[in-house]
Amino acid sequence: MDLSDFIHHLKAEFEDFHAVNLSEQTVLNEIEGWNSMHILLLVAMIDVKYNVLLSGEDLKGLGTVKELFELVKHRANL
Amino acid sequence: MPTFSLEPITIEAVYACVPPNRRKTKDDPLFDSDQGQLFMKSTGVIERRVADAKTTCSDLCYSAASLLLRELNCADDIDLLLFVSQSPDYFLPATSIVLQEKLKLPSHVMAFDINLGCSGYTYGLMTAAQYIQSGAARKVLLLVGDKSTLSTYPKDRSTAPLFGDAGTASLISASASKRSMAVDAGSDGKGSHAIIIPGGHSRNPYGTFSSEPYEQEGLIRTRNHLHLDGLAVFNFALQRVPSSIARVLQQAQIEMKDLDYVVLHQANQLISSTVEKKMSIPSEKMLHSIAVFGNTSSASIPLTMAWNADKAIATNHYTWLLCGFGVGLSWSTLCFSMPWPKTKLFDYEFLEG
Repeated sequence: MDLSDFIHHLKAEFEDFHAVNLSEQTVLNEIEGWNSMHILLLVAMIDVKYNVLLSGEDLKGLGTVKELFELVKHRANL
Repeated sequence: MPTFSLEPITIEAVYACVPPNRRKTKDDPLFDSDQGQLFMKSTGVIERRVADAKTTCSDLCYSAASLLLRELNCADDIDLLLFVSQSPDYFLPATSIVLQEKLKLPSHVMAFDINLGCSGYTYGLMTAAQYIQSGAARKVLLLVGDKSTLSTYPKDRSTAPLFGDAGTASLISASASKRSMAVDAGSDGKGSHAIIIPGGHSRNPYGTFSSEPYEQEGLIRTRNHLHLDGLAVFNFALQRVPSSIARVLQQAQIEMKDLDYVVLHQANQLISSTVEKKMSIPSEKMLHSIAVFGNTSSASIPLTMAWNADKAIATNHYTWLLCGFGVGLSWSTLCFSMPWPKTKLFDYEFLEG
């Protein structure tokens, strides 16, 4: 798993959203307008691309993109 | 986990009746333009049908059933009437029995309700198949639908713009097919609060709680209205549906490429497209209707069949996979072969006018 690929997938998923400047330090739920629909799109993208299904509990303390990447990477390797 | 086979059935006809009143997502006052676009992107709902205050789910099912019985002239062959819905006319008696009289079906007809939502159509087919297999019923009239807009709070952005109303009637009989019907079904009560109307019945009777709207995690609703935990339902669907499809294909001893049509409950487009990608289902095999009718609960599978009837070639036999999943939490998946049913899809006023 590669962080730059992960960010590429995020940008592609949210290209019509405010994701142009998205980086590993971006905190997704601090992006203006971020809501529950974005979370569903995020969970679906991660499930399809990485076969990792994140729960509401996983996403409660959603931090930076890098932290999310590390969580998905950890789950993918279990 | 029940995965089993039943003697094959055929769905002779699917008639669907929807209210004429259309609500377009782009005009929904709950959303600004960006929110509306995002909602349409993730749910796929462009418009939906909403019944007026006087029209019940059983009215829609009655219209579908009375036209079906008249056009197919089959009333004398019906031995069982099933009404699958979570919006019955009354707490009691069962709506199926009210409909038995209204449809002028004789008193030897068995009638009972099944209280299931989004998994209801496939559970209804499974029940019909078992009554036919036992010899207790020659033909089954399966009435399935919901008036979900009755239970959504108008200001709740998570439910009100998602659901539409519909009623359907299907005529089920034994099939001459040599291939049995493969079934996979199950329940997960741990998710019972993921889709729930908490107030107004025995657990929390009217008068024991406030009916005032309240705000929770940015959503407004009352305890008399539907509460939907979107992420929990999404996780449930992505965990249960692909594995259920895999088991039913194994039970049927066929592969994905052998299927002609896959009809998933139309929960939202994101669930359908994610299952499609995860299971590598060719997109041309997937039938949809959510864009024009929204999430119609138990009616969504038969409504989708009726909506896509232009794909049918009358003489062909098709291998179908139908999967219902949702409130309960509950799911059931069926795989069987049959011709495309005779279908009809019409607006409620069409008959009444």
